[in-house]
Amino acid sequence: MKMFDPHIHMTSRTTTDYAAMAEGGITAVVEPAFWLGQPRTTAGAFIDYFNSLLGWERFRASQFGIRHFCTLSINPKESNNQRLAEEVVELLPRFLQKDGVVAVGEVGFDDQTDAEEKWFARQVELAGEYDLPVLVHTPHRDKKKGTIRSIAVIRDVGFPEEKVLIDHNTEETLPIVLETACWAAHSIYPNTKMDEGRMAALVKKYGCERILINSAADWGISDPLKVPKTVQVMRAEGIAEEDIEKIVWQNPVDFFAQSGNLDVADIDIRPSIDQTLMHDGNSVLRGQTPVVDS
Amino acid sequence: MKKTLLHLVKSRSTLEGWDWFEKALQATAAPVDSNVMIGYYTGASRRLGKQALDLTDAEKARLDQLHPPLDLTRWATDETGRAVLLLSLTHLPRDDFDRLVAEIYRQGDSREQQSWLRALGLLPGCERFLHLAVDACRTNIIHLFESIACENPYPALYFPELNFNQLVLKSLFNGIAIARTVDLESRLNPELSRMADDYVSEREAAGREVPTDIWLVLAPRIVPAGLHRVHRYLRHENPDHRYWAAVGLGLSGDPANRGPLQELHDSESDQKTRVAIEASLARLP
Repeated sequence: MKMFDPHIHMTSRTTTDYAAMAEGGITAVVEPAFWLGQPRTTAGAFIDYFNSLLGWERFRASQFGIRHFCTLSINPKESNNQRLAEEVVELLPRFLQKDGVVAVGEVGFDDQTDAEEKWFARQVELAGEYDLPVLVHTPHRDKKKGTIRSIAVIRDVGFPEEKVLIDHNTEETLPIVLETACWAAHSIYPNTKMDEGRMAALVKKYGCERILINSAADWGISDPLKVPKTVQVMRAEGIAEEDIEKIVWQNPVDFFAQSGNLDVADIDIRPSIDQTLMHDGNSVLRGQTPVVDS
Repeated sequence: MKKTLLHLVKSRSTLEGWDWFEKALQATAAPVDSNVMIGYYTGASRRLGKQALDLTDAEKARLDQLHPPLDLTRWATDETGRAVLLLSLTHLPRDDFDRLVAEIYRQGDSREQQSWLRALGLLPGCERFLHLAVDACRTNIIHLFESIACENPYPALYFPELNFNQLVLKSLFNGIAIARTVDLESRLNPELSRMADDYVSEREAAGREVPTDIWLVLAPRIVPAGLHRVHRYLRHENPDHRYWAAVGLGLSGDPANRGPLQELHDSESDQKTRVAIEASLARLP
């Protein structure tokens, strides 16, 4: 089964993870721009970060037969730094038009401050202007209220709900999202957020329409193989194979294809690996024999 | 206060360390070179050491007499020295002082930022640094978060309600005891109770454990419809839930909570919880 991890922060992961993900069946990922665990103090840091997502990280993924897409934005946490948010949002348009950008995100709420709401709304407007979908992060704290408020922001802006993916859902927020036309993603985590068994139960209850799963793996305790692991649990729970495939492949493809930057015909074929290639003179290899698909 | 802190630093420094610290203090005199000052602030860990102050009873008594009293239980020598350096810069014109103090925070590593946050409430005009204190709560580094959220009077004194509530929720989320939040009682509010109640609901729906001390903020200001949940945990098999539910209900000021507390008291086998119930019954009208 082909698998898509539509939310994973690969810049925080190793090549061992890439190899394991490819082995596990993952052939496409979306990497949302996010918080690096440490606040950035200049817009220049974002320029370099966006460029690394669009350049080196895409190349690294390709070396393991994985297609890499990204979503760009200033994240909710850092949008509380007004000056920084202003500068980053000002330079976003030129980045949103680049290859490989499949949405604006992750945007949304963290502490649910007025500043977060302002930059969330502004970036949703930008997505409208550049005809891109939006990836919405829902907060860890006060999640239910944050989810309801996020939907309100989307509606206030007048942005089409079918181009919105609301992430990190729980038992309590999923029914709220499904009442809208937005799509609903679930981050399968070792300790917090959602786990494999609970996810299977949600699929049995709500079906597979507009439902996605991801690992949201980053620099914290997380697992880049959570998508294939959840597939196994869903199978064991007797969920139909075509429903599982819809959740881990067709839904993310359909959602992000709305960006016009994801070629539906192309994505079905696993990209061929050529480890003799270089990126600005750099290779992921450290003396190994390059793998080249015949 | 500065004198008391200075004395603590001196009594815990080596001769070389104190020599260095005197030079650092000289550098706080006008004109102050920002880069030099930031360097001294950083140097405190190496020169003064990171050992805990480990206060004597006499020193604790002296600190308790200060206004407001200072809780230095978790402070180390380098942090105390850093606090003295900040307090020695207050002669600067206000804008220069604000700029330098903010820069010391921004350029600090996590231990320097921890020292800065612990000392923040001691600085004149400390409310002007509110944005930095609020921003510090966004960290994922737990000891840094604790340095503002725990044993620190600053949040209860200066944080707006939204930020204060988020701080409490983040403590609960990270398994940090909220009893460590200074003057929590003075900041209880219905929105915080509502947020805590939603969190319990989310944890229950996920089949996960609920932090046992959550009742301390949930019970006092919850809407009447939410009380049934508190009363349910008042009979929970885990005595920690019963204890904190009893403490929380004692802060509610609602005489309707006397009945459930009295009922629990008659059957309660846990000594600590019995004492808490009695204290809560004594508080309630």
